[in-house]
Amino acid sequence: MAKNHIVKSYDHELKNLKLKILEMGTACGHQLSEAVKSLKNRDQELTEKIIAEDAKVNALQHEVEQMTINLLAMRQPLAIDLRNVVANLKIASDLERIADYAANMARHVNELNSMPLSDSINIIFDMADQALGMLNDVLGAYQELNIEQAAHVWRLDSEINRGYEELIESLRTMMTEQTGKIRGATALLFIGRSCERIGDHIKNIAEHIHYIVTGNSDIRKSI
Amino acid sequence: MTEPQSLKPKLKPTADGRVSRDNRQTVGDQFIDNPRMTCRDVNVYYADKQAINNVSLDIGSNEVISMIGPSGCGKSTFLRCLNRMNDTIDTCRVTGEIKMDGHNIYSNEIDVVALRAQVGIVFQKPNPFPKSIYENIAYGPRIHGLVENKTEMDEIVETSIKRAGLWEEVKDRLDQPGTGLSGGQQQRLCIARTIAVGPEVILMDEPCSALDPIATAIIEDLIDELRQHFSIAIVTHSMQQASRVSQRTAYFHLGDLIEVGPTSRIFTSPRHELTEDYITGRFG
Repeated sequence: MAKNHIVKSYDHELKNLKLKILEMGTACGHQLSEAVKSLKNRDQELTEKIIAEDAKVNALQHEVEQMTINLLAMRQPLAIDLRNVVANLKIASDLERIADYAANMARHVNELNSMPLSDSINIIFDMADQALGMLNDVLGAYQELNIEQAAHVWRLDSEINRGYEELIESLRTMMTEQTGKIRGATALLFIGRSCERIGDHIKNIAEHIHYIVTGNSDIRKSI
Repeated sequence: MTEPQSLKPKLKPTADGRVSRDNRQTVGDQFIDNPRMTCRDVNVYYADKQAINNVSLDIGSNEVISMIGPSGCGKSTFLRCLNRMNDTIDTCRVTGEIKMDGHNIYSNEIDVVALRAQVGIVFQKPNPFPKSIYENIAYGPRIHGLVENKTEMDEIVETSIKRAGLWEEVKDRLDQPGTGLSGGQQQRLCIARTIAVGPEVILMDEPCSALDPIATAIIEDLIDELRQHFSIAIVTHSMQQASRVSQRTAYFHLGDLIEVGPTSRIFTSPRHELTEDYITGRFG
């Protein structure tokens, strides 16, 4: 358990960095859940809002970058502080990509037009729910620096991957049997791919948490 | 090479795999292959007060090892054991074994003056003799009988000053007083004086703490070059300096050697909570 720094303003700056990452994580979760909602409701207005609000997450990432650069230059962090600052920079990058994929999902929703719901879309809903739960859990693990919880989230990514394989199989069948649905099926494939990539980035965040705590990013050693 | 640890409490790892603060057993690589000096179970007492507790550590060839820790942790005391500088303190008593080239330097047969030529020391504050630059360097080789004539002496003076990176600045004024040089130049003069008697090991006790950043950078660059010819043990309060100049770092705390390891690991992932507290500014 780390003690407080002798220089209190250093603790304050590290705490602000953590709060900024959590703010970014919450914004990403919101973007992802809105993307799922837009998919369920085929809500074009909502998709445009999601695409526009991606810029807010980008701006948060820029703030995190500036804060980490200042910490590196002004505090010359070492040991856990150095790992923390470097990992936060990487976590911000993963969160920014998660928000990008949420915006990509919204972009492809518009391509679905009025295509009726198929079984395939339910696989996507399951994957997105799984990703949202994982994102929530990984942010909790980050807040508490809980490596057991981070390892738990890391393992869950394989379920999203399995869902993606199932989705591909389902869409292949659909495209073979109903060639008129190829355009919609392709859009679903891109949306599923976005969910799968979001899972990968959440997995990366779990590894960064493990690195902060242990100095080793190979989370498999803790599983 | 691994050796048995002394009888201290067993390691108690924390949840994140680090060694907890209440543990005093040394963590890391105290022992190395082909060491220049070996220290085993070294204890130092000032009268009844124990300043160093059972420290075992190897000093490698052609390496810079830095010793860090808060004031009073024993790092300078330990450094001064390596060339018996503590002999000058009446109440100081050293136990354990410190060997160089297989010989115990605390043996009665050891010539302490010769030992201090083999294991030279540079102090915090530059302390040139109140003599000319030339005489500052020539004094050591003369009293140790290392030269037979003026030509040999000139050669040693020039080589030593060149190795200390000072030649271009002083070659035209060797007859001027050493005390007339700047602080950084005086410190390099002291390093040249140490080199002149042909040491194997150079000890440095906070050699840059009285110098500005430019003079410090010049000394640090010099330390890196000297490593090719000598073993160097440096005590420093600057963790940035330790990380810049040394290949291994040893952390001392209240007379215990807490952790030793490659400098890059010590400053990114120390294994002992006490090391982490100190280098991240959480000490106290």
